[in-house]
Amino acid sequence: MGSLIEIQNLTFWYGEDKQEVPVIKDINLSVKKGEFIAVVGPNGSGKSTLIRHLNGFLAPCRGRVTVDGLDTAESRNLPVIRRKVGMVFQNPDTQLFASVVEEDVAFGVENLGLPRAEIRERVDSALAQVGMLEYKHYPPHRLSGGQKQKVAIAGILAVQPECIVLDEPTSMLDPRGKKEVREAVRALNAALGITVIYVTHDMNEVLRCDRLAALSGGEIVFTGRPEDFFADRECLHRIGLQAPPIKELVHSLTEEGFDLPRDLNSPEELVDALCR
Amino acid sequence: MEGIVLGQYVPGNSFLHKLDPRTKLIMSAVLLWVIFLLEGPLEYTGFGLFIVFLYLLAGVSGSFLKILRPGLYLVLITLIINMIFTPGRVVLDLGLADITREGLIQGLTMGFRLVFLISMSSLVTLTTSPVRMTDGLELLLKPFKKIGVPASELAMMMNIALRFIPTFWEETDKIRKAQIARGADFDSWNLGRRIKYITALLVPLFVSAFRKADELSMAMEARGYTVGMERTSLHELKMNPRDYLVLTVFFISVAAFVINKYFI
Amino acid sequence: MPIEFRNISYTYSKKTPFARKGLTNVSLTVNDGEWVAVMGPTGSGKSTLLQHLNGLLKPDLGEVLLDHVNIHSSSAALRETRQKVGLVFQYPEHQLFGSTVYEEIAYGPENYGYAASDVEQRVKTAMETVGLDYLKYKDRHPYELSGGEKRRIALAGVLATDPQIIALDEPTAGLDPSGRQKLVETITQLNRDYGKTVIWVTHEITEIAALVNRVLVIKDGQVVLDGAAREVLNNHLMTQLGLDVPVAVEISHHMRRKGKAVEGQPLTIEEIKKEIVRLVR
Repeated sequence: MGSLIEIQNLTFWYGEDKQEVPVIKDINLSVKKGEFIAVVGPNGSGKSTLIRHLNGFLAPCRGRVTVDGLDTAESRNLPVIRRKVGMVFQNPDTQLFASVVEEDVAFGVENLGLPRAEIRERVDSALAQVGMLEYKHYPPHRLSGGQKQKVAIAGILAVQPECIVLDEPTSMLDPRGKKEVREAVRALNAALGITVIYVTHDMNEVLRCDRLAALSGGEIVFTGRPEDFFADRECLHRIGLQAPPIKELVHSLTEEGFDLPRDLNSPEELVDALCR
Repeated sequence: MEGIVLGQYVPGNSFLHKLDPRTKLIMSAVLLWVIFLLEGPLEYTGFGLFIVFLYLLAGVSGSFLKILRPGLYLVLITLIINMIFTPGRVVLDLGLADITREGLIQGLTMGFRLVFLISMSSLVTLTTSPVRMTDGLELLLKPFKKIGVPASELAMMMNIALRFIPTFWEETDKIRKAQIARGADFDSWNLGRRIKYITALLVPLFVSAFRKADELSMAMEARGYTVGMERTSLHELKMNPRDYLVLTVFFISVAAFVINKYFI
Repeated sequence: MPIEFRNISYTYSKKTPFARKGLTNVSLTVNDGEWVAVMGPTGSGKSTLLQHLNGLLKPDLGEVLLDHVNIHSSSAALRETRQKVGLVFQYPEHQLFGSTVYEEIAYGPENYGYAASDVEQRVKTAMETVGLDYLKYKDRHPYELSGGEKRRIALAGVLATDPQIIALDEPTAGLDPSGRQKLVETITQLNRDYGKTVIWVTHEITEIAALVNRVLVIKDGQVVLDGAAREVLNNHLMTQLGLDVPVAVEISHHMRRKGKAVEGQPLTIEEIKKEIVRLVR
């Protein structure tokens, strides 16, 4: 599959002064179409700064970012880029701004200037894709956090993007909400082939991604399969992250001499493997 | 901070809910003018009954008293001030102040006007969802676009403001409680202390409002919104035969009332 | 200094169409030096419970007793309670207002009328407890610090009045792993070394499962489970309510379903590992 987003030697610092310490430094990353990639790192490692380059919120101080060949530094490309790359943010309360769910989902499509019938159709199908169609007449404040985030995702889906970037979408949710959102995201990657870039510092969330990029101090310190990342305990410790408990357990069982596959990601899978 | 009802929308399916917001906006504007034409107990009683009828029709009669409660103090003050300070024939001698017949009438008139004003305008917000309201307003303002009135932006601002009022109240409540938990006493009589407590409430509130505004504008921009752009809309506001019928009957009645009052 | 709830009931927005039950007939006692985790689905009444601890909410029915005194019996009792019971709200960094770290942390002690020298000592101690160097941080602006640091300043602001009971609403939410760990360490120290009572509302029990004495589960405004962490977390109701349980608990459930007789009620990775080694090898 071809690549959708190309990041080359991206460096960024706030302010005009070149003497400023860069927030992110010499980032190189290419995201393939249909890929599910996680971006992890502790707070202040530059995750948010990095992804704000993907839809042209920030323009590189050095280096280049392209989406489908379009340079994000060119402001005339921005409308098309923002249609291709949708973004879901952390706080479910500040990204829903209409007083009824369907109005909110319609917002992005209304900005495209499409005819009314088409808007209707896209809103309904986007809501159906995240399983929220029955809530379309609800006011957002009557939904749970997880439901609000799914509505936000539907609002992006309705624009029919190539890629969805999610910036810590579950950090303000309870366990049930986290699970709902995680499953919705996974489904739209698997069923619709939408490219997903998932930013988080919760390691439980990234067990099933295709690829993982870890940031520390503004630099990429790892890219590769999540299993390899969690196996590199020295690297994890250095950047201040922890493997999820299930991986800890699998690791220490392996040290005890158990022969277990490396891609065990849930208690259920582990027990199945043990009791085979 | 609980139970704020003023300006709230109560979802429903009544005749009034189904009317186009423009119809409701126009009629309420006209009725607000009519309130100031009312004279004599008969007309006031008639208008009062009319409002009660509308509340029953809309199925929001439960909200009626709650809407009036905050307004009631205002009414009471108006009544008392007018009763005492209007010169005229004394009906009750209270020693320090006299209640005059003219004052009583003046006070009651003003009081009822206030009650009517509050209940009329609330009726519109009670039966119209904020989205439809802003759409209606935008369309009503559209003719003024030519002379530079940013109708769509105004409507968008109003929509967002309405959406965020509850969030803002929640936030205020939360910060207030957090500072009380740290020993703040918002009922303190000491002015210096009180200013300090209020600062501890307002600073985080403003910071939070700015942060929210920032996040919101980012979310809107990420979804392709730019100020002044041409947008289309999911819902089209459509004037139904019902609306034309109501408007016709309404204007004929108002005209009849005015003609009857001033020309016959 | 035990805190006791006697048949507490509370309703929000009473007598309006938006009325909703907060708590129904809740009775419980938290004793000196206990560390209690409070869990429950969103909207079950956890925050309502917390706000009753220091009298921010007044129960419709029942009474809250601190050291056997009804906290609403007089305004002096209420004031005393607010000093003795420190409440750390969710995302407490959102309530910072001071222009320096010192001003922020001194706010509580100043409100309670301590002398200036005493206030300074309290600020020093509180900063030391949360692991912020006094001289390095005291004159800095809270808003220019990192998220984890801001959270610790907010915590210090509550600790500065030297409360005996510390109640926290999801204190680690939104922090990264090292920020979480530091906070858990601070609270552990307060509980173990200084004997503070801790009431910790959370959705994520794993990080404190092995530290708490007791877990309380609330559902629809009522206490449905209350007991030792080990027993409560292993109760099947936890998973039915969609609440977080440690991986060890999930594994022992699955193993039992597969016919493996897991012994006891494993809570930590170490414990479940021992059982796996014993049963599977």
